[in-house]
Amino acid sequence: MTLKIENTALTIKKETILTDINLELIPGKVYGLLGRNGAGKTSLLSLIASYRKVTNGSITLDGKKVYENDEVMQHINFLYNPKETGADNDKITEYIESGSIFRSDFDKEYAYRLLEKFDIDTDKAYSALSQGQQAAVTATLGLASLAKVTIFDEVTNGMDAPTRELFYSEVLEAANREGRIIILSTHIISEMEHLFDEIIMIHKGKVLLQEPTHELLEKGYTVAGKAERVREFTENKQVINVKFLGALQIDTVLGTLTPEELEIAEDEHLDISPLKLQEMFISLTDKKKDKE
Amino acid sequence: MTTKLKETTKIFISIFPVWSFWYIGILLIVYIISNIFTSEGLSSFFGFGMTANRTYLFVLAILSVLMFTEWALNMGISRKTFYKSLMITGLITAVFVTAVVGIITFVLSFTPFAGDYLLVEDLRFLTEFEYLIFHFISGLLFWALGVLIAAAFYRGFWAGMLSILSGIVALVILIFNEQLLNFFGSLGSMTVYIGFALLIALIFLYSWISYRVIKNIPIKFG
Repeated sequence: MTLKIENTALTIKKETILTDINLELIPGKVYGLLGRNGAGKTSLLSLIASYRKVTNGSITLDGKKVYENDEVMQHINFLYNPKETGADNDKITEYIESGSIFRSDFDKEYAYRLLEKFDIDTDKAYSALSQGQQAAVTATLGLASLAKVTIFDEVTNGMDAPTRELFYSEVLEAANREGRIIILSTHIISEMEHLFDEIIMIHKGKVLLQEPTHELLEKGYTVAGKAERVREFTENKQVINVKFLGALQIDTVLGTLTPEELEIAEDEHLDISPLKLQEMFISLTDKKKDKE
Repeated sequence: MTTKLKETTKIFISIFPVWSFWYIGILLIVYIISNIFTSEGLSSFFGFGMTANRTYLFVLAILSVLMFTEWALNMGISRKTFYKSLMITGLITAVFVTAVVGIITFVLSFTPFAGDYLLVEDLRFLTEFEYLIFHFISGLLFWALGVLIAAAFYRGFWAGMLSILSGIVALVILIFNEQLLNFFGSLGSMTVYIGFALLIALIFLYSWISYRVIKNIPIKFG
């Protein structure tokens, strides 16, 4: 089962939102969809979920067209936090029941177990829950749907830190994970980077990269130490970010280190650590911006 | 009927009768109050209700599209299945409200609120049966128009405005059709059925336009 997005474009009212999107997503992986505000993340997700029709190209799951195909659409679950919830007087139990009516893979028991973990009172109306609790219900519906393609678009918005942590661990332990494509779109990169098997970066409506997380993070490193020594060490290197912490300087550098350079770093009492995804993201999206 | 269509229709027909009972209940109160305070003769609850049912079906169709389109997509239901389900539900709801209004009229016929005459006088040349058929069929047209107008809100400016305009044109045609039916009615009952056929053709036309409008509507969510 592969989710294929081929030569896809989206234009809304003569404005180009997405251009030439080519992606291939396979089961068993958690994909991190990253992009700045207005980059086109949600537009791409709404195309996958059939909320919109592509202007060009095609989106297929297992070779079958996704758009307006009931058989395929029931295996794609798009989760987001609704803005207006005041009129949602249905009890949480009703959400679970209707999920199980329309999605053949929906696991009700798993849903109730998750709701218990999130400490949600299932007899309450959805609108009576706090924003964070509503987000937890949304997350539960996604995880328990066991949908082949499960898309979480900023679902952690409104969740407190412990709930977010719980959600992250549940994503990693999600039932039938090996058979599912999980897409997480988020702005909280630093908290979620450990979840991602692969990163998809979107910038200005185009795919900037699709790479396994570990490979992406091997493309650089950070150097921390006394400011003068760090400056000397990173001279003539591709520094993408500089931070100061008191007398300490932390440089983020693109490229790899040779064994000799590692020895020098040790002699100079410099700390070398892996690249942070967030810094990589900021740098990549900034660089592009500068060029244009 | 596919499983999805069946399940979607089941959901609607579990919700709409509740809403319909609320509507008929309020209508009944209005009718009884009108009966108490009006000195002029009033039609039966059936005549009163059948005219109001069309407006109810129109409003319900608008609400259904606005409230359930995003929900349907979120449940993995295609627009096509959603549309089919809406149309089946419209037919069932039209039958349901007609039947309930009929039963209430029967019960009221044993009370002081029986009304002075069965039907309102707008279609004076039609028989009671023809009147019932006309209002029932035009209720379906109102449903199709409601779906069309609500779906138009999801489309771009021109597509949306044209859909709304065509909805208004249909209402004008309906008024024309009432006059036509009166005319046909004065000629004889067989010709009335030509008027019904025209009305049914109009329903099919507007249902087709509604489908064209709904089939690619983008869903703005959140």
